[in-house]
Parts: sequence; C-alpha cells; structure tokens
Amino acid sequence: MAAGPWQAVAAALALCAAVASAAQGGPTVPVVPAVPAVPPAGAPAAMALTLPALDGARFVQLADFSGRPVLLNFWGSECPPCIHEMPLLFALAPRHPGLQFLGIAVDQRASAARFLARLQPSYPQLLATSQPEVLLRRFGNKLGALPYSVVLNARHEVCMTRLGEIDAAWVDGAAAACGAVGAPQPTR
Amino acid sequence: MFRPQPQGLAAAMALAFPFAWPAVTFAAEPAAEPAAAQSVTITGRPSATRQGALRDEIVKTESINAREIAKSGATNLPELMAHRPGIDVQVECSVCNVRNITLNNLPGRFTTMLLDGVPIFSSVSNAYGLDMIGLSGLERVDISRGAGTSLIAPESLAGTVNLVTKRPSSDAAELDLSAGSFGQRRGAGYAAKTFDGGALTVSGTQQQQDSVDGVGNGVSQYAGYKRQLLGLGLFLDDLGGFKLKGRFDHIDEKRMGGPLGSDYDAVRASTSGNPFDFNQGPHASPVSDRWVNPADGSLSDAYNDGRFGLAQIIFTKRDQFAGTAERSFGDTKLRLALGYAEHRQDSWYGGDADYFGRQKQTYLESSLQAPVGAALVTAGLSYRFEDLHSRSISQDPASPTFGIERADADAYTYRTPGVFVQAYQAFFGERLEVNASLRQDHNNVYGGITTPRLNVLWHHSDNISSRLAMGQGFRLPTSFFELEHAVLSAPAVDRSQAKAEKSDNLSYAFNYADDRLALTASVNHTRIKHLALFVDDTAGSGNFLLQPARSAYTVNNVDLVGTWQMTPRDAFTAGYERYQYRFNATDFQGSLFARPDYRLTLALDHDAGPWDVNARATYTGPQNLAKFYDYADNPRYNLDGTPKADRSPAFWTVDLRVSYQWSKAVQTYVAVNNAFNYQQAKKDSFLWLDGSGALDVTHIWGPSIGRTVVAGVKLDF
Repeated sequence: MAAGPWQAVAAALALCAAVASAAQGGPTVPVVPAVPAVPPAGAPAAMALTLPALDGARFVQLADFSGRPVLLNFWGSECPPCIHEMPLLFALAPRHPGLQFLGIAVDQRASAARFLARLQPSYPQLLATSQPEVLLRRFGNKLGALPYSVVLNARHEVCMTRLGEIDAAWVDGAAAACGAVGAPQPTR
Repeated sequence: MFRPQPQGLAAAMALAFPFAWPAVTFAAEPAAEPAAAQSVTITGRPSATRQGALRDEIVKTESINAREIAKSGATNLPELMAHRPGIDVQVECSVCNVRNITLNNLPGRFTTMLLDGVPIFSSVSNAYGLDMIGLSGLERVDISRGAGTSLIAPESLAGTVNLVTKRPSSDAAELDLSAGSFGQRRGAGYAAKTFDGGALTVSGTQQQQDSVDGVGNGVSQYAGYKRQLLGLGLFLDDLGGFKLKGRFDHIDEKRMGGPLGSDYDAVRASTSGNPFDFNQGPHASPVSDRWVNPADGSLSDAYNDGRFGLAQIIFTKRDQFAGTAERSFGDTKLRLALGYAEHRQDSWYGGDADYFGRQKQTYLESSLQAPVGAALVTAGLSYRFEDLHSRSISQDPASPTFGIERADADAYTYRTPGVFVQAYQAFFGERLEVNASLRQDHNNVYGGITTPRLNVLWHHSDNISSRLAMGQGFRLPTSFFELEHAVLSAPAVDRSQAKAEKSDNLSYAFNYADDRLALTASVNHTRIKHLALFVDDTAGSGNFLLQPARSAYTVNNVDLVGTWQMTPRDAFTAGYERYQYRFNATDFQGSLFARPDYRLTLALDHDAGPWDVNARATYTGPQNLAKFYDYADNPRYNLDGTPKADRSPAFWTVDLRVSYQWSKAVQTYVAVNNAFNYQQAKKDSFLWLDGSGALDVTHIWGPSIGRTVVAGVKLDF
C-alpha cells in the first residue's frame, strides 16, 4: 500500500485528536441534565394504554384502574439501573395502597420473565410489544432511555416523570403530589 | 427556531451519529434530592421490534432483535434476511449457491454489510462470504433501505445491513445443537464473561449439509458444505476514557455443488465420462448423456467431462476484525473505527478454471460530533483500501488460454480516502428533524465523487411519523470473476471506460404505532446509472471490457407491512410489496437477475408460556424472465430444445417452527421449512442452454431446496 494515503489518514487522526483535545474541558463522561420531578409541560390529558400481561394471560388497560393514580415503571432486564431499582419498587408498592404500580418490560418476553422469576413482583407486569420507542415518547420520554417512571393522577393525566433510577423519597413525593390517597405505610 | 434542549440534544447525538453504540450509558446529574450521580441507560435497541415497527431514528431503519433471530430459526444472515418485505435473498448460481441480500429488489452487490457500523465486505465476500456470517452473540440486525442511509457507506446504493454485536451485561453460556434433513448437522456455542468495566465473548459454530438433488439427474440444486466459525469479542467501557468494542471472526468453509457428495479429490479426479442423467426432470433431454441443440434440433456431442465438468468446489478462509472506540470530551464526541479483512478463496470451477483469489480490505475512520449552535454537526475522515489478487488456470478447451496459468486476470486495487460532514437539527419542539450530509471521496481509479443526502423526519403525533429521504450513492465497479467467469480467459480486464456506479434515491415512509399495532408503508425510487457490465472483446482487443450500461436501471416499489397484537399471546403480521422495473433489456445483456413483480407475506406468532409457535407463508409473484434475461437477444432453452417460459409462475412457501422451554436452561425446537415442498427444479430446471447449445446453471426463480425438517436443543447456563 502506498504511503501517501496512510500519511493522510494518520494526519486526519491526529487532526481529530487535536480538535478533540482542544474541545476537552468538560468531564469525560457526558452529563445528562437534572430530570425534574415535576409535571412535564404540555402533557396530554388522560392517557390510555393497552398492553398484554407479561405472562400472556390477558390484556391490561389503564382503564382497569379507573379513578386511581398509577405509577408506570418502564424497565429492561439488561438495564443495570432498572435492575438495581426494582427491589425498591417491589418494596414500595405495598407501602402505597393508593397508588397502583405497573411494570412495563421494554424487553423480550422470555428475557423479562426469566429475570422476574428470581424476584417476587408485588404488582402487575406488562410487556411493551409494538414499537417501544413510540410508547415511551407518548409518555414523555423522547430520549427512549431506561429506567423511566411516570406517575399518573386519578384522571390518568401525566403528573410526574422520572428519567433514571428512582428512590423512595421521589416515589413518596410523587404519590402525594399526584393525589394517591393514603399516607405511605412505614417500611417494615 | 427551536433550540434543542440539552436532553433532546443528547438524544440527537445518539440518533444522528452514524452508528451509535447500541447502548449508551452515562451519568445523570442528580434530580432534586439524590446525592449520588445516577445512571441512565439509553435503550439503543427496541427490544420488541416487529415487522412494521421502525427504530426511532431519522433514517428509516427496521430492526431484527435477538428474539426475532432466535424465532426465525436462521443459522446465518441470508436465512435471516429471506422473505421480509423489501428484503430478500437472491441465489445466483444453483450449483455453488452464491447468494446475496437484496434490498428493494436491487442487485445484491448494492447492499452494504456492516459489522458494528464498519464496512468490511466487498466483491469476493459478497459472493461466498454472506453464508458464513453467523448470528451468535448479536444484539440485533438493523436494515436501512435506500442510498444515503449510512454516512460512512456511500456505496450502499440499495441500503445497509448492520450487525450489532451484543455487549454482555452478565455471564452467559449457550449451546445450540441441531440435526435435520439432507444431512444437516449444527453445533453452535456462545460464552460471555463479564468483569468490572468490560466483557469478553467467544463463539463457535460447526455446521454441515449435504448437496441436494431434487429431480434425480445427479446435478445438485443446493451445494453441500462444511463450515466452521470462530468469533471473539472484547468490550471495554473505559480505557483511557475510550469505550472500546471489537470483534474478530475466523471463517473456514468448504462447499461443493454440481456433482453430489463431498469427496472433493474424487470429483477433481473425475474428468471424463458422464455420471449425470440429463433426461431427468421437467423438459429434460430425451437422452441421458446429451441434449438437444436448439439451433438445429440435433443432439449435442455426448457430455464427457466427468463429475468435475459441472463441479464448483470453493474453499474459503476469512479473517476479519471490526472495532470502534468512542470518547466524549464535554459535548464533543470522538469516534474511531477500524476494520480489516483478509479473504482467501481456493476454488475449482469445472469447465472454467482453477482459481485462487486473495482479497484484503482496510477501513479507517475518525469523526467528531459536536453541537454547533442549534445544530449537531458530525465531521470526519475515512480511508478505504480494497484489493484483489488472483491466479487462475483456464479449464476451458475452447479458450485460447486453456491450461495456461495467469495472474491477476480480475485484479484491482482501490484506495479511497474520503471526507464527510453532516448536520442535524430539530425544529418546532422536536417535531421536525432534519439531517443533511455531504461526502467527498477520491478514488485512485475513478477520481473524485461527491454524494449528498437529506433526511427529514416529521412527527405528526406521538403515534404517527413520516420520513423522507433523498440522496446519492456510488459504488466502485469490481471485476471479481464470479460476475463473469469468462473474464479469466482474457489477459486482463480493461476498465478504462468504466465509471463509478451511481444512484439517485428518493423514498418516503409512513409509520404508525400504538400499543398493539405497528405499521409502515413506504415508497421508494432508485435509479442506477453506469451499472457496470462485462463486455467480451476478446475477438477485438483481446480483453474483457468493464463498461457502464448505456442506460439507467430504475426500480420503483411500494411496500406495506404491519404487525397486530391480536391477543395477549398472538401477533399477526402481513406484508405486501410491489415492484416496477424500468430498463432497456438490450443494454443490460441479460446480466440482471430476475426479481418478482410482487410478494405477499403472512406470519403468525403464538407466544404462550413455554410454547412459542411461528408460522410464515410467502406468496412470490411471477418474474419477467424474458425481459431480465433479454430473451430477444439471448434466448434460453431447456435441455429438450424448447424455449424457457417468458414468466415464472407465482408460488407459495410455508415455514413453521415450534419451540418448548422445558426449564430455565433447556429448550427444544422443531422447524419445517418449505413445508409443502415447493421446488423450482420440479417445475423448471436450473439448467439452460443458449442458442448454440452451451450449458449454464443460472436459471433461478424459485426455491432450490425442498422441505427440510430440523430439530434441536438449546441449553442456557
């Protein structure tokens, strides 16, 4: 191979590296800005949802929980923060009797079921079957990122969203802000 | 004008980057109260992708994820690609099973294969290499149809197929053992070991199948093979700030078609007599050792070339590496990519030539992506090297070079540095996304080539979107002899008149998705100019000429595909595609392979607990054989001297697969492909004669192999 092109490539690589070095100054890991635990602007009115249960036994609709606030947690079995937050969610659900928890696996049915078999889910698990990114976008997640949690109020309007791992304080706050009836039960 | 919010910009960076990491993990600043940084994983894959669903990208991209791959029962890439709307596999030779992947029914060489976004397949590997692309350890396969679908692959006049390797998140070990009809035996293993900040994978496949003769004339319609694949993967999340991903593959395959069996030495030694029976099958010869000469109705001279006379024996060894490295510097992202492949083909073509070819490819890329004002700009440099060197000995007694060893009859060397720039911007609250790019490449033979593209995505609502794409692509014509065996009879290929093949593409796609339905309709227009043809000028200049076709080849098509979740356990898929081919048959000299006028695909997926049942029916419409093969100037005949039919018949094929998950670790499966045993050879022989009575093996419009049954077990540890 002639040396010319290689020299050109080496020069190109050096140029890119030089430009990149010049651009360096921020952290080496890109930072996602804070995701506020507040209602998104321009959120649509009542949301609807019809997805098959993860076990394939039936379709589950948001309308099945008419008049109740709902927490939707979108997760995947190969998403480390999803896996990390799941035991906490399973523990929090019984503490919030006024808030219906629903898990939505953005995953393959077999993989999700296999993952959950190791745990004891305390609320229904659904499967995102059609085009998951559209489903996430519809619930305010244009980034298509996981984990993602949405709290709907009793009218099933989007009330609070959370991109990234949740914590107990956020769930407690969202439940209160979105009208979940009944104070959180103490953790045992 | 809308200025992207930082979060939207992050999404744009993931979407607009030529081939982003399949899963990007980065830290999020804490929300209100958490003290520690949080981790957010971008789902680079739509895990439940179905036909009719699109990835959330500005370029229309269909995806086949790991589950779909497993359910298809496919053992290699061509098997996975078959019978999807707008996507198919073209078999070009019945006795050697050269087959490639067609997008929008354009010639297979215009489909660019990518490994993790790195283009390292070319002329030789597109002939015999695609069957050797295994599916172990893949996260998904992305298919983008149309030129300009990839910023880094301008030669993809029809589109790209990108194999995305899975970065394991946990330790795993899998073993898949199967056996079936026609001596099919397969064992495939995959293991992954994760460690802090990375993972290692190893995969291996051993596979074999006998050659198949469906009509009893002793000439195979499906080549037998023995194939071994070895793959290694390395993933490092942070090496000096770089995220690295690399895979190495070694491929070793032996295949033979024409005569049956796998005793290669015995076939090579059989150079006289007639072991075949040409009076078997439809429109067969009235006698077993010769055929009717269509010129005058007489019987030809008796066939006397032995088993080797119709044999094609191809030994392939290939090593390839594809790797990428990414690092972020604030809002700026640096990507480096490296690809290398060495492909060696040691082959014997009875009646044509002994041929040994060696091809090397190198791909280097460096690009930067950074926000500039409201736009996200990507700029980079690439360098491609591709050569082919060969030596051959003509086996054709009619050739003036009979018995003479010659070097580099079809050789070429291409060096193509390029520069590219792309700008992405969102408007109107991210409802409108626009992506524009420009490439400038300079090839050592064909000079400078400029290719622009423009992509527009409009979100009508959260459920409905439209994508408009227009662009140009170019491909440097290659002279690998598989395109025309006769080139080996000339001292060299004269490419002084050749031009780069160029395409103009325009496509529109409509996508609708709700919780239970995913639907996509698309309209595509592709016009290819300067399509390269071999012209036999041995009687004049003594060479074969590589020339551009005098007129353009245009394919227009519409397709509609959707999947409906009928019940919680059952999904139904329907797809329809229709094509219009516009070309002057005389200008293309029968060099285009015939493609169907339309195709209908129906599929049912039943997923209930441990049971998984999949059924697929495909109705393939007729093909205008007379036009594609230019019967007016190059008539084709059967062995009994009758003309070949102008059009092929339409036909159904049905595939079924059932699996049962016995436990977390054990699954068994049974698959029946081509369940109703439809075989072209029982309707119309692959063998054909030209006007002078010369025999060829490329009359192909239907399935080359009948019903196959495969049973296997999968073990997950």
